[in-house]
Formats: sequence, C-alpha cells, structure tokens
Amino acid sequence: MKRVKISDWSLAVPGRDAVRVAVDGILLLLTLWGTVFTAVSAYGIEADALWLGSVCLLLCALYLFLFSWPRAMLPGAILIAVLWGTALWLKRDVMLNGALQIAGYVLGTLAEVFEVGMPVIPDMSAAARRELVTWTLSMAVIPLGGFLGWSVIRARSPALTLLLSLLLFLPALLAGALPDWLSLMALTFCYCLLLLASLSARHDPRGSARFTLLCMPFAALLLGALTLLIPKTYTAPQWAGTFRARTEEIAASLMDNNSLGSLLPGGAVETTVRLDCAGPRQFTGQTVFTVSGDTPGRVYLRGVSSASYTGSAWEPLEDDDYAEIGLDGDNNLIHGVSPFNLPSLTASEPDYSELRIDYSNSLSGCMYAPYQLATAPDEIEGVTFQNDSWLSRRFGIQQKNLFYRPDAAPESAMLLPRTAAGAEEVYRKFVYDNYTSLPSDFQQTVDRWEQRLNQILEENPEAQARAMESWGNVIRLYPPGRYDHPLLLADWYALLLELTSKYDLDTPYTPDGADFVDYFLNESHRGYCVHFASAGVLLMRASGVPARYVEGYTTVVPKFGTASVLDSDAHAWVEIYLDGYGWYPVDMTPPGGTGIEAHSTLGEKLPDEPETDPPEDSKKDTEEPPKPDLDKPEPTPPSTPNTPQPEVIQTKPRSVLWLWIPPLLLALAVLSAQSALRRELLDRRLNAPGCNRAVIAAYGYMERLVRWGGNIEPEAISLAQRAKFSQHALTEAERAQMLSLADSQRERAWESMSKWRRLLFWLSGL
Amino acid sequence: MLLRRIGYLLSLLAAVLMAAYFETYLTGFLLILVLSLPVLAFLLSLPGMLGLRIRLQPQGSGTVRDGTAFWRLETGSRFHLSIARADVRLHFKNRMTGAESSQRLRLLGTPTGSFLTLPADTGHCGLLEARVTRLRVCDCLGLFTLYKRLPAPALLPVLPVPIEPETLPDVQGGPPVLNPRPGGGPGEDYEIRPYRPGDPVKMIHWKLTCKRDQTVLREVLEIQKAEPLLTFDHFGPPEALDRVLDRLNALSAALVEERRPHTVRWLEQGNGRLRSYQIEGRRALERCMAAILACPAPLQGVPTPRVETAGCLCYHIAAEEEP
Repeated sequence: MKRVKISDWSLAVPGRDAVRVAVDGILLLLTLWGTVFTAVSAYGIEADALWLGSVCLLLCALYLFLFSWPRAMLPGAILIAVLWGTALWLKRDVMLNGALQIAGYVLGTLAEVFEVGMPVIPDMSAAARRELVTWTLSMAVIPLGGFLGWSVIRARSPALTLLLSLLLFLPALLAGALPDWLSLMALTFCYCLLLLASLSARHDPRGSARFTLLCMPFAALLLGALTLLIPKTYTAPQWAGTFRARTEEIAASLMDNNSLGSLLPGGAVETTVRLDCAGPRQFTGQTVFTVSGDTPGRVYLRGVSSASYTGSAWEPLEDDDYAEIGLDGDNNLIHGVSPFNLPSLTASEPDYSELRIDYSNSLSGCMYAPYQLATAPDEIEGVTFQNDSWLSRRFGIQQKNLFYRPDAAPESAMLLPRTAAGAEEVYRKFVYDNYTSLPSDFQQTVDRWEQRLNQILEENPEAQARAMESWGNVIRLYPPGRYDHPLLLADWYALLLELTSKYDLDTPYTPDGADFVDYFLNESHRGYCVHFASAGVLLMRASGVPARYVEGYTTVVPKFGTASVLDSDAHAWVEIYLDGYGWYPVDMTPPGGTGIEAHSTLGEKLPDEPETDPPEDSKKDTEEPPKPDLDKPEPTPPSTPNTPQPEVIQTKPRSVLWLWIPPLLLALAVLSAQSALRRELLDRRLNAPGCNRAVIAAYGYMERLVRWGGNIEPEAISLAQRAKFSQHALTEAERAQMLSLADSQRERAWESMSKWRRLLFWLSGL
Repeated sequence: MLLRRIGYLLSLLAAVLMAAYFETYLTGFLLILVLSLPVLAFLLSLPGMLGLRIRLQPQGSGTVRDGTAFWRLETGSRFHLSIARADVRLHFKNRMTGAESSQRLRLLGTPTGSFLTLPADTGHCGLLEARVTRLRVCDCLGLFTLYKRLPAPALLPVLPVPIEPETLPDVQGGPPVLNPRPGGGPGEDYEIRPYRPGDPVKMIHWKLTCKRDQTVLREVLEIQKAEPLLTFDHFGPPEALDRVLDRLNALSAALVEERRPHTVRWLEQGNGRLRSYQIEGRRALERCMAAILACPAPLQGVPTPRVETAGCLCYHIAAEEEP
C-alpha cells in the first residue's frame, strides 16, 4: 500500500498558520505547566508557585517562537543551551544545594514505599529552602521546556510527550502520592488533544491545529464530567477484586504446575501457607463453588491441612514422612482405611448424608470435603486422597457427590470397628510423632502472653470469671474422659485468645523477621482466623494435644437448592486429634467455640457484632481507598541520641491565587485562537474567487460593524444589491471598492470605541 | 489501524490492571478515561468522516498512446475538516486490451480541497477506466472505520498516434460509376427506363412513350466515385492492434480532410455484432474511435468479413509485422 503524505498532495488553499501557532502555544503551556506542577505537588516540594508559573509562561512563549520558526530554532536552541550551561556553571554550588533539597523531597516521598537511602541534606530555614528550591526548579524547567516544546510542536508525538512528562512524577504516583488535580488534569487534557490529533498532526499541521481547536472544549468537558461524576470516595468496583483474584489464581497455577492445563478445573493447589502474606483482607464476593445436599445446616469444608510451623509459614509434611505408615501417594490407605474416613466409622447409624459440590467457577484443584467423610478413596473417581492432608480432583472434574456422616461426632462415643481400630493405632503413633512439634522458643512466647493475660484478667473481673468457669470445666472433668479434655482445653484456649486479641480483618502484615504467632500474641494483639488458628494449633500442641492448621470454607447447606460459597467464606481453623476417633475441627476464632454446631457465624463473617469497638483503621478504610502498604507496621527502630531530629517547618497555607492563572490563560488563549480563526475565515470569504459572493460577505461584515459604531454607505448597499440580484458578475474593481468601504467602516468603528470595547471587538474576531 | 488498535488494547489492559491492583481514585479515573476517549474521538470525527467526498477524474479529455496523462484524485469535505486517515483502493483497466492493475493509497492527514495526481498507463490504445473499489475513512484515533459510497468511475481514452496516412489503392482514380443524379436536372448522360410509380411526371419522355406504347422516362446520370469501406480485425496482440488503429485513424482522418465520406466496419468480438460507423466529419471519427477503444479486443478472434458492394471500395487494414 502506498502511503500518501502531505508532500504528495497539491494544496488548493494557501497556508496561514495563526491558528496553528495559537494551538501549539496552548498545548505547550498546559503541558509544561501541568508537568511541573504535577511533579511539584506529587513530591510535596515547597516552591513559589507564582514564580514557577511565570517561568513556565515565559519559556512557553520563547520555545513557541523557536519551534514555530525553523530558521530560529537551531541558533536559538544553541544560544539557550549556552546561556543555561553558563548560568549553571556559575551558580553550581547553589544549584547543587537546591538539587539536594529537591532530592530530599523526592526521596522522602519514595521512602514511604521503597527502601531508599536519604542523602545528607544541608539544613536551612524554610524560607531559604523555598527560595533555593524555586530557583533550582526554574533552572530545571528550562531544558524540560525545550524538550517538551520540541515534542509538542515539532515532533507532535503524544507518546514522547507522555514519556517526557510522566517520567518526572511516575515514581511518586507509584508511591501512592496524589498530585494536584488541576495540574494533572491540564496534563491529561494535553495528552488527550495530542492523541486526538496524532494521525493528521505530522502530515497536515494546519488542519490538525484546527481539529485540535475543535476538540478542546469537548475534551475539557469530558475531563470535567469525569471529575464531577466519579465520586471522591472512590470504591473499587466488584469486578476489580474478581479480576485480581482470578489473575492471581491463574498466576499461582502457572507457577505451581508450569503448564496451561492447570488453568482448567483440576489445577494446582498451594499446599504451603505463607503467613507473611497475611495482611489486610478484602473480599470480592466472588463465588468459589456451590454446594447442595440433603442435610441442611452448617458445614465445614476442609481443604489443605499443614503440619509444620516455621515462623512465617505452615508447611505440609514431606512424602517420605508418610512412607513408614504406607501413605506414600500411590496407596493412601492404612490397613485398607484412609485417615479421612476414620471418624465416619464411629457412626452409630448407617445413614449417610450427601453433599454435591460444583467447582465450575473454581480454578483450584482442591476437592473440599466435609468432616466425617464416608466416601472411601476407591469409591470416587477422579479424586485422589493426598496422604492425610487434602483431596485433589483430576483435570476436568467439575462436580462431585461426597457422602458423610454428621452423626459420627465425638459425643456419639462409639468405637471404631476392629480393622479400623488397628489402622487408627498405627496412624495415631504417626500423628503424635509429626503433629506435636513446636518452635524452640515458643515457651518464651507463651510466658509473655501469660503475663499479659494475667494483667487483663486482673483488670477485668468479668473476663476472669469466664476464664475461671472455663478452666473449671477442664479441671472438673479431670481425669479426662475419652474426648472431653482436649475439646474443653480447646474451648479454654479459644476464650483466652478472645480475651487477649482482637478480631480485625485489617490486621497489618507481620514485620519481616518476626515470628507470626509471637507477633500476634505479644505485639499486635489483633488478627483474623489465620492468626487465631495458628496460635491455637501451637497452644494445643504445647498442651500435648496433636493439632494441625487447616484452611477451607464454611457454609450453610440449604434445605432446598444450592448455596454459593463465596471467597469471603474462606476460613482457617484447628484440627485436633482425638485418640480412637481421628481429626476433629475446633475453631479458635472468636467468638467460636468447639466443634461445628457451636458456631453461630461463619468464616470471616464471624464477628458480625464485635464486642469491642471496631478499630479506627477499619472505619477509615471503609471511607477511603485502602492503602494496605501504608498500614504495614515497621519495627520500631532503636532511637539513638545522635539521630538528628527533623526540623519542624511551619508552612504557610498555599495561596489559591495562582490556581486561577492557568485557567485564565487558557481561556484567553482559546478566545484568541477563536478570534484568529474567525478573522481568517472572514479573510477567506472576502477574497473568495467569486466577486459577487465576496461583496455579499463584505456587506454582511459591514452589517455586523453597525453594532460597534459602523455605518453602511449607500454605495455599499448598491453594490451588495447588484451582487445579490443582478445577473451580471461584479468586477474585481467593484470588489476592491467594496473592501475599501468595509475597511473604512472598520476604522471608523475602531476609532469610536473605548479600550475595553476594542478588546471585546478584537476577541469577537472582527 | 492494526497497530493503533493493538496499542489501544494494550493501554486498556494496562488501565484495567492498574484499576484492579491499585484501587485508587486515579486509576479508576484513568480507566474510565481510556474507555471514553475513543467514544469522544469517534463523535468528533464523525462529521468529517460522513462529510468526506472523493472525486476521481482524468486530467484532460484524452491523450495519444505513450503520451502523458494523469488521474486526479480530489478530496473534499462538507465541514472543511482534515481527513485523519482514509484508505483508498483504486482499480485501473484498459477496456480494449483488458489489462488491469490496482493500487492502494493511504491518505494520512489529507487537507480538504487538495488533490493528488497519479500517472495513467498510456502504453496501449484503449479506453482507460479508473474506479475506486474501496473507500474507508478512519476516526482521529484510528480505531473505528466507516465505509463510504464510492465515487463514479473516470474514463480516459488513449488514442492512436497520428502518423502519415497511407494511400488507398484505386481510390483516387477508381472505376467511375454512373448513378442517377438526385433531383434530376440537365445532363449529358442519361438512361431510358420504364416508369415506376412515384417517378416525377416531368421526367417522362413523351416522344418515346408514344413510340413504344409504354410509359418511359429519361433519368439523368452523373459520375460518382466509390465510397471507401475501411475494415480491420478487432483482435490480436495490443502492439499489433495499436499499429492497426494508428493506420486506421490516419487514413480515416485523411479521408475526412478530403471531405470524402467513408465507412469504418469491424466485427465486435464476443457478441459477433458487425459494427459500422459512417464517417462524415471529425466528430463522427471521434465517436467511432471511442467505440473502437471501448470494445474488448481479445488476442484471438474472428476476422471481419469483407463484403464488396457496388459503388463501394472495401479496404482492409491488416496487421503488419512489426518493423
């Protein structure tokens, strides 16, 4: 395809560039001003805005002249570069000092997010610093204006302009700083205009300038409307969270399996729980899967359980650990019984409940299963029992029916059949060997926690009474019955955790290097299910009860129809091992008790009515966009006496006067451009090829002049009548005569006007 | 177009990712802006896109073979807006030789009221036709397109090269033929023939009628030259046909100069129709040449039949070997 450019075309209309120069001036001014003030406001640089605005205006005029007249461009650019370089050299010490001050502002902004070192900044008074920064910025704006001028006027490249300007304040935006909205909108306005005229800008600069002029009010209207319509208390739409969760899930699947097959149902499952990622929680309301069943009521659907606590993660046991009991991945049975099926074998009644799970919306390869699972590994296709930790479903499996026995609770006090009892005995030894380990320094953690607990109990008699009652239950049933003691112990620990820690979904991340449970129990004193369950597992283990950490979902199976399990139903809890029974879930998250039936609320919706006042942070977060990174607590650095204290600077409130300058200049520029355009169109009509039309146009012009003090001569009326009604074409001489009459009328009107009226007259394009 | 669309999709993807991962007012604003900017661009470009007018016409009324000729592509707009981008597909065809070619033009930033000249292929005689087969105009961002109504095709005849006319054999002094003089009048040559209804009464030869007992009349005769009939075969290689047409054109033009009416006849290939044009002047010759140039001439065909009639001198212009 042949690309035809402007050089290949023959222009029928001679060019006049008044409109083009005006439009270029507007664009350059807004780009330069917007870039400078966006960067200044984003980094919080204290500078004289009026002075900087004046510098921008001056440079805009200078570069507009340089780049609009190619002959002046090269010598002018060289001259400016030499002068700028000379000034920089002569004032190098001042400029270096100013650059350091600016670097201080920039790094101070970035230090909130990024780990950057702060340079040694010379101390000075606020006024002196402001003046120094203003001068340095003014010097920096000179080359910036040159580059932007070349990009806007000569190259006409929106991408280059975007790059040049965005580079200056992009780090601040990434650090979460919000620049001054007006300057940012001025810059966005320019980007929009450059984009809209980008196709024709290089090949038809004049037509492009006119089109840009046409676009200006509409682009301004669009930006203004968006600013007004989008509420300042912006809350991200639901799709954003869904999208993020989906992409993260896909990314996790890709990283786990390194294959695209994991994108489809039956994909990979993260078996390691990274506790350092447990920060403020947000939910999108996305449906993970749906369940339906014949036994309505609350049900815990367990996913993956973890055995080893490392301080920053929960990790599963290695496959080699299972080899001694025969759970080696291929044969996940001990004497023909899976550990998952042990509790269901204690059921007194042979009845089964059925649960149907639909994973159409889930990319995870985990098969969530209820407790007291009766479905044996050889009774279900496409589902693999992964040791004693979790169930996986094969690629393509989307729906499965699982059978379980809710009546096989520990309270039923039934014994396992003989075969199963043998298997349980083998497995119990394995459990005591592998699910009772504790961190070496956990005793210190418990000691510190107990100190705080005692203090709370002393200060709060009611809490003390509750704790004593719960502990009384534990003592009263000693020596323990078959299952009473560990369950009551779990109840007691859940109560103590509730007394010492606060449930908070906006719990910040655990600092790097800190032990997750220790930080939760002794430092932050707030957390959600992950924190409570992790602490609960270690506390139960410390009391000699085998326990493990489990993640899954809780939901209510409806009587009719299906229930959607949302991402907000995700939960973490504790599984304790009951001898002769198997694993049994206990929930340490307040206000949970022991076992499924004891809970009144589900998952992360547990504290519907918090007993204590909600944290201020959570209130704040509901009104403002969340800033999870900012909430991340930093370990308190040891304060040294040599550390210089930051100078407290009393800054004056910013003057709003300068805010009016850019819009005023913009309006003036638009009116000037409009006036120039009108004059150009009038000139074209007056010099049109047909004399009759030109004379009629001149008559119309004279009629408009009447309002400004002009007068129409009878000779002009006669010529206009002949041009309008006569069949003969007027001559060039008659046209010239009419134009001279119009000129004389204009001069007469001009002479009769006051100065303000002349300005209006000029702006009206006459 | 494709690059611009891909670029926009990437920008949109970046805005979506930013809105999803940085849930701030600015990212939300940016996403809505990215979504709404193409709509604004389309609405602003729509008058220009709808008002675009393109006209294709030849520069001049015609040319001779191997001469210089151009097609002129003019752009116009009802709203005097510059065209951001338009894709034009042109198709050129020589109706006589059947040679075809096409060209695609991408008009970037075309100012309204401008024109572009494209050279025409005048290598062979024939009626050249230029046609716009596709006209697509884009919005100012290059994301949306609009297909426009196509302009009328343009025609440009490429005429034979003027050469020295050849001499017609026996045309100048051919056998004299006596034909009745229209309107009668005095004359030395005449013939006696029986009366036929409709003959003027003044022409009845009363003396002989009395003698023969049959109404006879005397019809004055005059000597007339034979009218040339020029025939040629309208097929063959373009080069050979070009030379035939050169000769035909020169001969016919010479006859017109001599004020000698003549007829040009050829067999139209394809439908087998015998086309005859009575040439009495310059304008008739132009019409005849236009008809010849517009008729398709295949490489192989049926020769034009040569019919000799009384008072008519048939002259066939055969293809010659290339000198």
